[in-house]
Amino acid sequence: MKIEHDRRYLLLAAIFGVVALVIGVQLLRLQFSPEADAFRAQAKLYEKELHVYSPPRGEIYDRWGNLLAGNKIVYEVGIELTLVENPETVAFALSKALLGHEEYDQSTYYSEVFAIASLEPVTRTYWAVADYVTEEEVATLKRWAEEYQVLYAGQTSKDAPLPSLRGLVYRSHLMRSYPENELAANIIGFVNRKGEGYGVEMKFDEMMAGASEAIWILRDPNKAENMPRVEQGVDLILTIDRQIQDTVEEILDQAIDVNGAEGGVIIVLDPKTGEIIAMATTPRLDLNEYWKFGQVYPSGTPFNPAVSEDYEPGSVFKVLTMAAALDNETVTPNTEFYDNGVFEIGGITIHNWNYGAWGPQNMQGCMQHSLNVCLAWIASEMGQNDFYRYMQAFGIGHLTGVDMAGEVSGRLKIPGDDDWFESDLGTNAFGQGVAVTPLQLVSAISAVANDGKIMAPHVLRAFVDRGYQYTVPPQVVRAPISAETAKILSDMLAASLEEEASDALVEGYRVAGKTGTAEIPTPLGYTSGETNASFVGWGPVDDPRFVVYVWLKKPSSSPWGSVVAAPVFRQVVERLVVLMNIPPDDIRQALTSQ
Amino acid sequence: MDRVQLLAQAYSQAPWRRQIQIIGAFLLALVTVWVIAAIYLDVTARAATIGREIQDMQVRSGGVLRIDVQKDYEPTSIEELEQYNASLQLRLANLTSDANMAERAYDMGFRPAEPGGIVYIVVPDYVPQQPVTLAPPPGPIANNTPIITSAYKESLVDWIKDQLFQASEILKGSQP
Repeated sequence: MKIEHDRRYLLLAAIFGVVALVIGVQLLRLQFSPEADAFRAQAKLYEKELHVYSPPRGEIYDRWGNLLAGNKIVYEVGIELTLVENPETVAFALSKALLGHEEYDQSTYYSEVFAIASLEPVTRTYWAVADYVTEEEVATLKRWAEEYQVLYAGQTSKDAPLPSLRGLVYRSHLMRSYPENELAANIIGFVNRKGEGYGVEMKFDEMMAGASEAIWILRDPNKAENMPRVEQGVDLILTIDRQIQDTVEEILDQAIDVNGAEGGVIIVLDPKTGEIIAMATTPRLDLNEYWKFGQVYPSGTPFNPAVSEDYEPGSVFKVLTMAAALDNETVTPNTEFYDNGVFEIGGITIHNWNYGAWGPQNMQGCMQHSLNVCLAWIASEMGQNDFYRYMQAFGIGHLTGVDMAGEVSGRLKIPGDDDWFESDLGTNAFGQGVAVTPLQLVSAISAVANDGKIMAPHVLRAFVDRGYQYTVPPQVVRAPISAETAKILSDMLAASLEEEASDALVEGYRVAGKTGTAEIPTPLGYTSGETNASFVGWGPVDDPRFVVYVWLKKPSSSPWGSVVAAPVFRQVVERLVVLMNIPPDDIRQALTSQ
Repeated sequence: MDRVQLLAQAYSQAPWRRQIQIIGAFLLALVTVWVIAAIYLDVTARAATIGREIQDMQVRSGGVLRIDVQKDYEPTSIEELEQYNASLQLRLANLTSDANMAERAYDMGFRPAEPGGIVYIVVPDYVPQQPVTLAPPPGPIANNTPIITSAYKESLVDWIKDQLFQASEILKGSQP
């Protein structure tokens, strides 16, 4: 009996021993077999996976924290070949679900997807077949997948595979989105997939994009490691006030419509800080459909005319000429000038806007009646050196350095240039023969509203980087005139508007300003009869909180700035004082004195 | 002497005792190995589970979701949660966009204020609305501390080594 037991034990031990031996031998054989390298390579293949981590693009806010540019989830849809059961269904469903996409709504798309879904998973198993697919479209595909599963549950087919969306996979990523659509589109801008773009999106593209990083993730859970810190995109806070921007855009659109203008620009600037509070231009693009850029902006149309389009400003430029002359003490407000209607300089004769003679005038009269003859005389009295020195100090002909892409510098011909003639001194004095951008002009004139100092115009108020907010401090660019000159001119222009009973006047608030009507030059001279009507003004005069610039291109209702642009200025200011909480002058002064 | 012989004889005459001792020692060793193996397995399994959870929080394994399986999209990884947060923020911005808010205000009977319809009063210590602050101003640089502490990464052996090293450093008089 005992021997029998021993035999059984021995047999069992032998079986286990043989099994262990076979396993051991097999392990050894695998280590040194010809396939060993292939197995090792395969193991390496699955050891880790490459993941490209793209941090969300920085967001853009207005000055009060309202989101102007954010990110939304969209999906890349692909095919995992190892899972595909029915390539035909996959191709059909996808081509039907993506009919809303211009790039996939094509007759060839079905066959392209079908060809990919029918591939054998030899070299690669995953193929991306669509991108920027919306949540709704993915939901539709999921619903169809579920319906197929329910419809063909438990069924088998020998002839052809049953309809199924197996193999269709998706992964999420972010896409830029603009909750305000067209609002401030000219300021915000966009960056297309080629990396080209406009506005602050383009200007700060590198900062906001963050840095995508390819990271190897080990699949062995015992080797979980810290993710490297990926540089996040920087958030921007703009100086723009969303509500003021919306209001100004609405007023501009109405003004263009009512006056039959070709386009227009309105800028609202804080003269004390250089902050651009609003900047409305036309046309405007819905940034969520930036690919329609070509339709909205026909060839040659600037994206943001406020910084990218220069033009002859006309009489609004007289503010700078008068500021220079007062500061240079060439004239005083009481200087007498007898206007006989003509002034000859450099071989040309300068006339007034109505070809009339206005008789004896002081400097306020010259500005109030916008007398070309008087201003040309003032410039000639100043002399070319001083006149152009002041114009350059005002930044004419130079970039303002505003933090938006696509700024142009305009053109100020100066003595010594091949195309400068003495007559230019006379015409430049009243804004002819000089090209400026709207922002350049409003920035220069803001010196009169800010004690003679020009602040750097900017739209970036602050940015948030790695958890900290960095505020951009206001910067003085230049001080072309003294505070005293600025005050004298401000009072002179306010009185001009009051005596003229201008349409720019706002009840309860003292404002200063100047109209501009600039004939548009053609290769043959000023023969088109078309004008650029403009108005620049600021207020309240004793403590300016805003400078407003209005420019209407080629208005058909009337060519005059005083008729079409001045009322627009008033409309803007009437809304501004409410939205910026500026009490009427008498109330404000009474409150201040308490 | 006789007593010693008697004792030796008594034990040698009981071979089952020797067998029991051998078997006992063997079983004790076996149980010890089994307990250590069980603890090791438990710790390793838990470490692997937590490691996997960490990896899943970092990025979605495989990177893709199946249309026919995942009916509801649930963000799981840090990257997906960031995307989801950004998307929710955008949805909120859409709901509170200037056009939507103006329309809602209008529907509720509000109208834009006119300059003449505003009454200004002095409110002592009133602080007017200030531009937004989304983050604090720059301060001292924070330490770059690892997110995953060593307790989640080191093995039992590593831990013992570390403790021994720290003990020896203390004995040497240096700070750990």
